[in-house]
Amino acid sequence: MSLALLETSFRQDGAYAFATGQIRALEAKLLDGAKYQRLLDAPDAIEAWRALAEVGYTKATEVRLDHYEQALQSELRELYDLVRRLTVRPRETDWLAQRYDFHHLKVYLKAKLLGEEPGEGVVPGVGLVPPKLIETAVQTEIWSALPEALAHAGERAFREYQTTKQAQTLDVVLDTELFALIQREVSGHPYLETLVALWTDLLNLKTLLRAKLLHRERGFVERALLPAGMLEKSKLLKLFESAVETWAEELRHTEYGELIGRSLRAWEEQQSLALLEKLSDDLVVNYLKRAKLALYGVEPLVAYALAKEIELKNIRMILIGKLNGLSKEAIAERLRVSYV
Amino acid sequence: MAVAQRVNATRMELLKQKKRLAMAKRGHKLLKQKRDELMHRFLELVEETRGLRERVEEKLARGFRSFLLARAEMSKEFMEEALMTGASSNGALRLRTESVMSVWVPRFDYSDRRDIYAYGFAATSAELDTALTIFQEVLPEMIKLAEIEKSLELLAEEIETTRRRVNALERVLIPQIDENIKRISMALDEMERSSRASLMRIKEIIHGEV
Repeated sequence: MSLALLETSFRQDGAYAFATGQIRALEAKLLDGAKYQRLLDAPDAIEAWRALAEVGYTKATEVRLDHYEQALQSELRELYDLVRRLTVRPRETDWLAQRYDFHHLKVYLKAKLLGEEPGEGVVPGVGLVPPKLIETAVQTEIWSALPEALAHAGERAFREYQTTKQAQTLDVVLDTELFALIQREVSGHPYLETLVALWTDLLNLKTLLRAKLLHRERGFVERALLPAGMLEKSKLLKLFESAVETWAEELRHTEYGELIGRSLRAWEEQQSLALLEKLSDDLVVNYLKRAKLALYGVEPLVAYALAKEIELKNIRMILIGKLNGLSKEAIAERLRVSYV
Repeated sequence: MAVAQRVNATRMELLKQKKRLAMAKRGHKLLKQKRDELMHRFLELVEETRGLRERVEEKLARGFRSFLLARAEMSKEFMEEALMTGASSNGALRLRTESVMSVWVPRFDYSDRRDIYAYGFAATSAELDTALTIFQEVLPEMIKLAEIEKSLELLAEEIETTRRRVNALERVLIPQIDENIKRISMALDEMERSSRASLMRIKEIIHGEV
């Protein structure tokens, strides 16, 4: 898939010279195709877990395979500690961790509505705001204790839920508020703006396709679409009104024509949108790779953080696949492209 | 061979045994008919359940595969959050019973008006939609399968009981009554012959004296 249509420019920032140096060293430790192959070649999950230690995850694999989720969570926590340590201006990278604050807000809002405990939905130590603080704000409905954007989103989500009484409203409102926040936070950084726009477009196209296949109404799509990236909301809604067979043609002048065409063919054959998700992540990773061209700046740090998250997703996929007896080929075809 | 009961060799007893035999034969015929009809219903349900079980197993395998892939795409925490509100109300399962050849089998009435996709699309995998769609489709079929398989179990028990009754009538009670009738008849015949012989002897004595 081509990203030729996307321009890339970086805001060279000397303050990030040290951070960039450290990131370049860490990038070399990310898993490449050969290391993924080694994990895939393992005959079972236990062997894959051992091989994971050999390819660099020595600390994570100190726990038993049964606790692989905790191991991946602790890797994620370490990643966000690193981001916090290396960032020069937190505002430029905070949006990465704020995604988890919004996730926690969803968990506590849903728990409040159900009158239940939040269960295992919380990822401690990754977001910017302590989960306990979010929980108290949700319980007391005193939103002012939270950072402004989170408080506004929580209050709006809760208010709109009171009208619709549908739990999905919480997700829809919080997702749109989150992406509006991210778009605000990255403005002024051409590379990050394009990254977020690309990411938003891919999520919007996925939402559009899922809504179409689930026979959702236009009103739902209007609410569920994230604030526009490069594809205007009106264009997306027009696309939704038309038959899916025409979508690839409609999008042929964008980065997404081929992606949608291939995904729809895969849907017809296998009734699965797994390929769409893989190709979307691959497109994002291929764009992230451009950060390797930046001499120094916040871009390599953000690209590394997102690439590492995708790597953790790949590892989870391999482990779950091996634990459940999926074939090597079935796992391999779902793995995202490597950043290195 | 049937063991004859100790019965009085009287005409009244003979009549009683004959009535019992007629009733046993009628009962035997009816029970045989019941057993045949139960078998017929049983085989119909077996046929129905075979296709249904294959469909359910195939769909569940597809559903679990999709769910597995969704789980691989999403971390445990995001999956937990997405499914927190999915199981809310509006699905109703009612149980009633229905008599099939005097066997009370269960009947489930299931209606589902739930919106199972109670999560946002931005942070969830599309595989989750596929998995939940399959699970929602397969749930009424699983309930139907449970209904049929329970009915089969109850019918099988009833068939077994009826078969035992038919066998008991056919191999024990009816031969036993037959044997009783035969013995009583023989005893009565014997008694009749004996009294006839006595009468003849008395007659001879009377004629001899004259």
